[in-house]
Amino acid sequence: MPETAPAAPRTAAALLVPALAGGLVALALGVYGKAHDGTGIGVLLAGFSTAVAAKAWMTTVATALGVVQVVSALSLYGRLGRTPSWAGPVHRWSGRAAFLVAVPVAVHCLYALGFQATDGRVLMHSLLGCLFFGAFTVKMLCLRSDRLPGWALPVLGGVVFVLLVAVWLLSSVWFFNSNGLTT
Amino acid sequence: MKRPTPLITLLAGLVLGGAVLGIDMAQSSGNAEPAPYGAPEATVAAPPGTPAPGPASGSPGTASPGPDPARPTPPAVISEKPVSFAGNATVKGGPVPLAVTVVGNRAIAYLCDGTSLESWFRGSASGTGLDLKGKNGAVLTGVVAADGKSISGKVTAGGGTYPYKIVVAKPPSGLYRATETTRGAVTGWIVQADGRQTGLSTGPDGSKPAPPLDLANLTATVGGTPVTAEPADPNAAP
Repeated sequence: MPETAPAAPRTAAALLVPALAGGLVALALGVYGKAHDGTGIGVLLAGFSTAVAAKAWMTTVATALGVVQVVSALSLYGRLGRTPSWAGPVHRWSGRAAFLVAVPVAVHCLYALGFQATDGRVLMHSLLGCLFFGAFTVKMLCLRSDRLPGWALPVLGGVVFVLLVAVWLLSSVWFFNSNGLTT
Repeated sequence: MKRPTPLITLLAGLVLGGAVLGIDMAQSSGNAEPAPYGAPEATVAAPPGTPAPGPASGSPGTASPGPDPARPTPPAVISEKPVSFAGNATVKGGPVPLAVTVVGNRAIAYLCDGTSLESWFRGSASGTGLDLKGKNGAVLTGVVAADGKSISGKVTAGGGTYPYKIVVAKPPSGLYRATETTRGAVTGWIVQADGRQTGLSTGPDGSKPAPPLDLANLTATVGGTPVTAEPADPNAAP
């Protein structure tokens, strides 16, 4: 990526503050989910039979947008041949859309259900779900830093994507497997 | 493009999350019943003060001082440790299983015919009686026998009021409950002294008979999903 010459030396230490902020986000979500009893109440999206089905689909949409993220990022880094001019806007807007679709899902998870460890799947989903939003925060905060080493953003983006896919596998895919593709 | 758009993205997420949370909270505080999840919550008022764990006279600070005709002294609890009673209510001439678990001054009860009629009740329990409530006007009241081994009374559910008598149930007989928060299903099992099990699994898609509960591991497979049951706990979140 062509960039203006960095004023400060590129160093992984520039990751420190974003990483701390992301860690705090993940921790706060987990503590909130754990401390507060699931109310069992959540907004039901029109067109869906249950809140859980709505969440499964919204997470699926977010994951699909996550795939768009990876492809557009590869394009931005010139790994798919000539980079089209729209690769940047596509990357930014699909990312924003994925995030905004994921937020209501997380709110429902945390508010209606809470952090749970009833079995391995639920525990991993709870953990990774909190981590996802922490990792996303780190990535957002790193985007405009001129002092990060070149590998930082691709690695962070990759981590966010892997977490999202893992959360999706542990929830939506599990849900569709046991309930069929219900809406 | 030097606007801090990533920060704006994060803030937008925060605002959206807050908005959804606000709507959720508004729904919760409304009178909407949390139908798909959990069991009915009893609306009985908690006993004033905190009934002391022990003899009735043990809480002179909070209880009314001395005998008061309007406010009988709070009787001793049935048991501080969980104790279950199981038996039947007589509904239209036939037996319908009923079980109650008492812990301290709280009790949870489940009436279930295994096919269509079921009701969960929660409320207060004391050495003399039960006062439990459930959804849709369901009420269960009862009097504890002098020897503490049985409870008899009346249960109102499904459009009728029926007499019942239940006796102390030695584990593993008693009352079990499994909550699947993801699917929003609650399954209850009444296990009689002879081992007979009765229960229903009720979720957003209706009720179906509860599958056999493995009493050794407290596990069952509900609709293809393995679930773990727990002895019903009146103090657990519904």
